[in-house]
Amino acid sequence: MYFLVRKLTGRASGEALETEYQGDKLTLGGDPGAMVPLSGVGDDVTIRASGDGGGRITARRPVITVAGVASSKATLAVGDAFELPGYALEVIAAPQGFDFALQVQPRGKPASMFAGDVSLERHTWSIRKTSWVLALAVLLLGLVIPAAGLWRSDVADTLRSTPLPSDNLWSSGPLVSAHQASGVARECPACHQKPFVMVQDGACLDCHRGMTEHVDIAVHDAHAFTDVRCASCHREHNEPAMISRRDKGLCVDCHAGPGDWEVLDKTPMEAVTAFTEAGHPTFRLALLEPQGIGAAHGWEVRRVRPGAEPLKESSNLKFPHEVHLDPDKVQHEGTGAALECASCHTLKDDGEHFEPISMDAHCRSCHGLSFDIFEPELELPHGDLRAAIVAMEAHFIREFTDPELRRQRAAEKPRRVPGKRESAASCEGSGLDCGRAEALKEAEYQFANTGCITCHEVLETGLADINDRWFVQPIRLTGDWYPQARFDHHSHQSQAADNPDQVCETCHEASTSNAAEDILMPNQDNCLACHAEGKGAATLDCVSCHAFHPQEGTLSRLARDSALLQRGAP
Amino acid sequence: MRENLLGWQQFRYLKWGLALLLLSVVLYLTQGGSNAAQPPNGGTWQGYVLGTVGALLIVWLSLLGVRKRSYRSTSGTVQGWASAHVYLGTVLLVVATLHCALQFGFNVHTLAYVLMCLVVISGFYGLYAYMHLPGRLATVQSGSGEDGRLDELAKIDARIRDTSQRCDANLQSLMISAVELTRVGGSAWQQLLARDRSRVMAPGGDSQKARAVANVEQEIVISHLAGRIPDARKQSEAEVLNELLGLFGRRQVVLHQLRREIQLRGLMKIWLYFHIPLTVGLLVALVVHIVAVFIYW
Repeated sequence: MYFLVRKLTGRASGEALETEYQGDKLTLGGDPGAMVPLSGVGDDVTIRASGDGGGRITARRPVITVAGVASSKATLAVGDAFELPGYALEVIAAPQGFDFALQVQPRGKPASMFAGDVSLERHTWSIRKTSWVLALAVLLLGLVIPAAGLWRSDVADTLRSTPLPSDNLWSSGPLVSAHQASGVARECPACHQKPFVMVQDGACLDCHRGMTEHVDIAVHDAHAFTDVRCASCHREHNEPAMISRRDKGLCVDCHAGPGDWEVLDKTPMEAVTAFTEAGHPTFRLALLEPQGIGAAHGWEVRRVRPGAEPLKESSNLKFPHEVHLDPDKVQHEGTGAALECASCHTLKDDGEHFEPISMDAHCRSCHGLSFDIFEPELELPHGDLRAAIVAMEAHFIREFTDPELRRQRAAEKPRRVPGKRESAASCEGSGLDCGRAEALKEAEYQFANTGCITCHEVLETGLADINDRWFVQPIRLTGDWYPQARFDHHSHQSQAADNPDQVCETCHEASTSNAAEDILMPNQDNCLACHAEGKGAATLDCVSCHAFHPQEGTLSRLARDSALLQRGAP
Repeated sequence: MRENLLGWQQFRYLKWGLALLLLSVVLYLTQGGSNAAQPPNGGTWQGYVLGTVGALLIVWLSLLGVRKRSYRSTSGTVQGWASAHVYLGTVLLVVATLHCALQFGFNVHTLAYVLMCLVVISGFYGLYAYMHLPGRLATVQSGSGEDGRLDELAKIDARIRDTSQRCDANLQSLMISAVELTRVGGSAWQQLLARDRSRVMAPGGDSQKARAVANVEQEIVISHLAGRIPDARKQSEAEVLNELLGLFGRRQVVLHQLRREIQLRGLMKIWLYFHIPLTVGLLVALVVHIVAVFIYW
């Protein structure tokens, strides 16, 4: 098909430029590929000839104005006039050889072709509309949609389990790893149970049962603590994630002025302002002391601070560390090596305390209880005075009653053993008398010379009966010298030293102690040397040594209920 | 311009801003450490103070838009407000950063922070535009404005149409197409880039088909005209060509200036299309941030 486009130059002479086009359609518009370039039209306009000189014009947008009505398509006949933006067009009679002819005339000033394109207003988004859209989007996504879950937990669950905005968007920081548990980590209302109300203790105690209060409300007035919440000290959503306050104020806020918390008939607390020589009271030892003669009334712990009076341990044990740690005097029974601290002291799993010392495990290998040099493998039972005496009597009566044994004993002359009594080889008299006499002699030796008395305090009663004549004082070793403090031996064992004992000796001067009464526990200055306030990285906070929630004390549930009751009371 | 805005009243607001900055930093530094209950964040009392100051700053900074429109207001001059707006807006960046103690996450709180940063950064651009572009625009305009330039262009185009009637058809269509296919402005992006996308219908040789080729800065037309002048066979033809060459030369200058003017005008305005909607978004995000903090207290 052949198209003729007559373009009027716009002057009175009516002069025109005629251009021929060939193709199945005629394209007009501002597009670079358009056959007839018409700048400012801003759309692709296509004309197809219908064969009778007319045609059909189509565009994507309603840019075609026919008789004042804008449209995106129109059917054209010869003589029809229409407009495109900036141009007046008319279908004219096609000359011979052409299928369609179009006359094009620019309208208005040439400059108006791009006059609309020189400012941003028409080509940018509306500031007002964008502001509204942004504001509403933030409000909807950040508040309204997540808040829908506040009223219905199933809605909240749906929001959290889909990419929709949920209340997780309100989280202000990470949770500690312990709280990264299902049911807590993403479920905000697990803790935040009521909107606009601070997290209440009930939320914590739902999971953390059996917590004890720092303040025993049996002693102190619970009323004073009603405003203290779990979250007063346990702060979540911090970066770095942390759950407990560890600052000095946690303790010092109250303990700097212990006068406020005095309780009638109770020893007042000492003021604590810092972990320094001046700011912290000297450590209070827990001395285990026997009550009454021979601890007849049991043992009691006396808390005492070291002062002018030298303190002694009253365990009733006789034990010089000095001798046992001297390799010339004491060696390991099997290997012959010198004893070391760990030969007797085995750390418990808690890293703080030690397994109890026992005769069987730690002493007997050297301090055996053999009592008859004719039968050195026989040993007395330990820990039961009566059983030991019965064992001796039974043994010697049997020996002197059995003729065969008595003959053997008379015939043999065993070698003299140091530290052992030279047993009587022969005896004139009945087996019972001889046996009893020998048992008495051995008992005297064991209780008064060497044997039990090596390690034990033995009380001689002066009574005639062998069973009542001696009393061995019971031994109790202190297992926890500082019960209100925590200590980790493991972390301290990493100190540089030639052998492990040197590390122990930095705090416990055992190798120079020649009596079991010596208290080998270090005091505060020992700890202060490294861990005092202002010592940098090694500075310790209060809760590094002291547990805030003590083992004893009121259960939190009870305390909180009681506090609430008190607050409710008039 | 520079002295008037940034140096307003002997840098009064610079001093205010620096004082606020110093106070904020000192307040921030009193947080944290081994004697603090919590690490620095928005939840300590210092954090609350910094947050309150930041929120009040945001609200006050947004009120510049209101102050600008209330011509009867006696609360300081708009220029003073703008000077304070610049300095305190800059300090806001620090105050908000100290408030959040650089703790970020995928949450509404960080959303407010990000929006605030975008507003302030777009504001920085706005300040640059406000301080430097008017001077450049004045240089380009050199007396005549955009409308005068468009009128001049229209007159030149009319003369080109008239003059080109005296040429042969090929040259005439070349001239007319160069006029008609000239592009100035366009979409926002095209206005800001100010790249010349003008084209011209290059004569297609024997076949009648012509094709559009790029006519950056009218150079194709100008070089075509210049190339034809030596080949002119008649004096009158040479005169016509010479006149057209002069007209296109002037057209080249006018178009170039027009594009630059449109570009500068666009660069001076475009930031407001970000600054203002983002400010409104920030105000809402600020409310969401505060409400969200206290819903789950």
